[in-house]
Amino acid sequence: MNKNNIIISFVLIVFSVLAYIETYSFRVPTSKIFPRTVLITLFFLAISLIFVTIKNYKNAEIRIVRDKSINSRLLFYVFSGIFLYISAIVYLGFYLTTYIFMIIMMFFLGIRNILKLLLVSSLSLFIIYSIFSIIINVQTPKGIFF
Amino acid sequence: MGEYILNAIVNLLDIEVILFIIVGVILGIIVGAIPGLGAVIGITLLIPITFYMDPTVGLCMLGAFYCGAVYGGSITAILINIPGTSSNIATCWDGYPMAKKGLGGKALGISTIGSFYGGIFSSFALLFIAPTLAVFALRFGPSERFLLAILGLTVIVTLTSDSLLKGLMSGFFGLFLSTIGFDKVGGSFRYTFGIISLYDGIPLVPAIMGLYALTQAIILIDEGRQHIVNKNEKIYVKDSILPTIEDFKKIWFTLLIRSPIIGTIIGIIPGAGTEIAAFIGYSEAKRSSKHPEDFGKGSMEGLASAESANNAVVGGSLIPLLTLGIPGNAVTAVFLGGLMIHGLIPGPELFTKHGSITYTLMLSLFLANIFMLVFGLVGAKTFAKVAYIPSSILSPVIIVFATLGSYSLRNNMFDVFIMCTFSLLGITMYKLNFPRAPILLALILGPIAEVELGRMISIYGNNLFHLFLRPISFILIILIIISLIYPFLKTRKNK
Repeated sequence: MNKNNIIISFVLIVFSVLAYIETYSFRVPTSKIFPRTVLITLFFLAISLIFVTIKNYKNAEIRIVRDKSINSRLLFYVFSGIFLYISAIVYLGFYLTTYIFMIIMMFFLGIRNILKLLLVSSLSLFIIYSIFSIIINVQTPKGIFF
Repeated sequence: MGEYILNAIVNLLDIEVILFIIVGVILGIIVGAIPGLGAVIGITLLIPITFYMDPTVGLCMLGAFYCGAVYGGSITAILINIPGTSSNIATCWDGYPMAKKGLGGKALGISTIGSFYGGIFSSFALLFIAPTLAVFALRFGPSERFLLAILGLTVIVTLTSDSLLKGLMSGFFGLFLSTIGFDKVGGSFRYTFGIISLYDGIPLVPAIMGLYALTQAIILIDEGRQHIVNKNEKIYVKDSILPTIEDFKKIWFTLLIRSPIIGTIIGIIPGAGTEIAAFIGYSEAKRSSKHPEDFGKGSMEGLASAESANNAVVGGSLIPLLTLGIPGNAVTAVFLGGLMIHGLIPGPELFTKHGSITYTLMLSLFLANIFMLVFGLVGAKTFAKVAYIPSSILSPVIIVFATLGSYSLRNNMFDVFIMCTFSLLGITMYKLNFPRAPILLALILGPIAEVELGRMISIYGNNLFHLFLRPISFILIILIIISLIYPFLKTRKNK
């Protein structure tokens, strides 16, 4: 049986119930119609997925679609890295943080050649600076330094 | 129409427009040639850049990018047997055997010319069919527009998902997310929890960035390959790139007529897409060929059929998008985001009030295909080298571009956190085999559906019977029902 289907269905059931309760706080009645319709449907779809998953488990002839496997530890490291990067942008500014992030990230992903690390990071920053700051004149997040 | 076309021609003579069409085509070919990326990711990353441009220039660049990306994947498919995008899988079947026989140049030439003809054919279809369909869309009232939004959603749900249930769950979750923010119908704030940045709802671009760009960067990291393409894979190009007249005699019907027609029609049908067009184009060519036994062993006809068909989807898929707001596939769903950030709402207004921009976009596809032909014939071998960029470089670059892209539209760090949240959602959906396109489409179509539903109720009250009395509404309801029962019919047929 695909346990993930059951888990995600329960998560969505709880989620739709909580979101439905929240609709009571909307002051205007017409604002409740659309979200409530959507949440009720989502609730029943989640219940249906539980039944279908259990039914498919009992019916051996039905092909089981396996979920894709993702290395959860790696995912944790990558997301932590991205989160740190985004948080640091506010303090150090976009360009400095991005330069440090790119070097660390590429090193983490297996590039050990220092020259390559510095060159790729510098080139990427140059391209980003040219496109965003010079050509289309977009403001980048500023920090303490610049 | 004539006035708009003249305006469009004048716009296209602007050096800035030409320059960005060239940039779009080149970037499209490069991104298309990198396995693991593709038109969706590329357009996602380009949208924030186009936001700061004149809408005409920005949209022409997006259109050119779309053309280039669909073609770009064929280069690596032919030379190293790795399709840059899923639409080029059928290209591998005959392109790579040709390359192994020492006919890599000719294979690239046929693929480039096939893509060019497919693109030009569908651009003509777009130019002639879209305005007529847009005039027809003028008859649509709130009920039709509401049903159209629902149809767009159900069609993409049922045709892009392996499981109807998961597709519907994804779509309805997206519809829920679209209710966050200020309610334009009732006038109250919903699910904002006092966060000012959420008052305008979930920002579209950070959501797209998270669902597609950042998610793909993380998938690339997770796959754990230093190089997407093995460096030892050899590139076989020894011969001339231009096919001979004798070659043309063998493939002209497939290349110029059958496959472009198939591709354009499939492009118009929502939910299909470049992959299906290439497969059907290929199988039809094989079915009617005098030498079907050559297919899969290096048949020029097979190669031409797949490439001509998949590029013909580009113009075809823009027809329902520009006229009715129904994206045919994930690429056009993201493209719709590109239109929306410029305040361009698909429908009749696009062909009247914003006629100059729309006709310029449609005509720019001709120019994009011409540039694609030139760059393809001259530089295909060079473009193939980008497939060797390691994922350890590609992923951090995508993360940085996505971060800046999400921030830049509102200069708001909150949007970057939205991107991260949607990336977590995207990864979860990828892992659990939930399609991502419906959630994106629901975010776009949800507010339209709700506003039109509100108008419908204020005009007709709660009596929904009127929907069956209006002919267009009735047809739309039938189409929605068909799109919902189609997966069951397909499953029964497969059994």
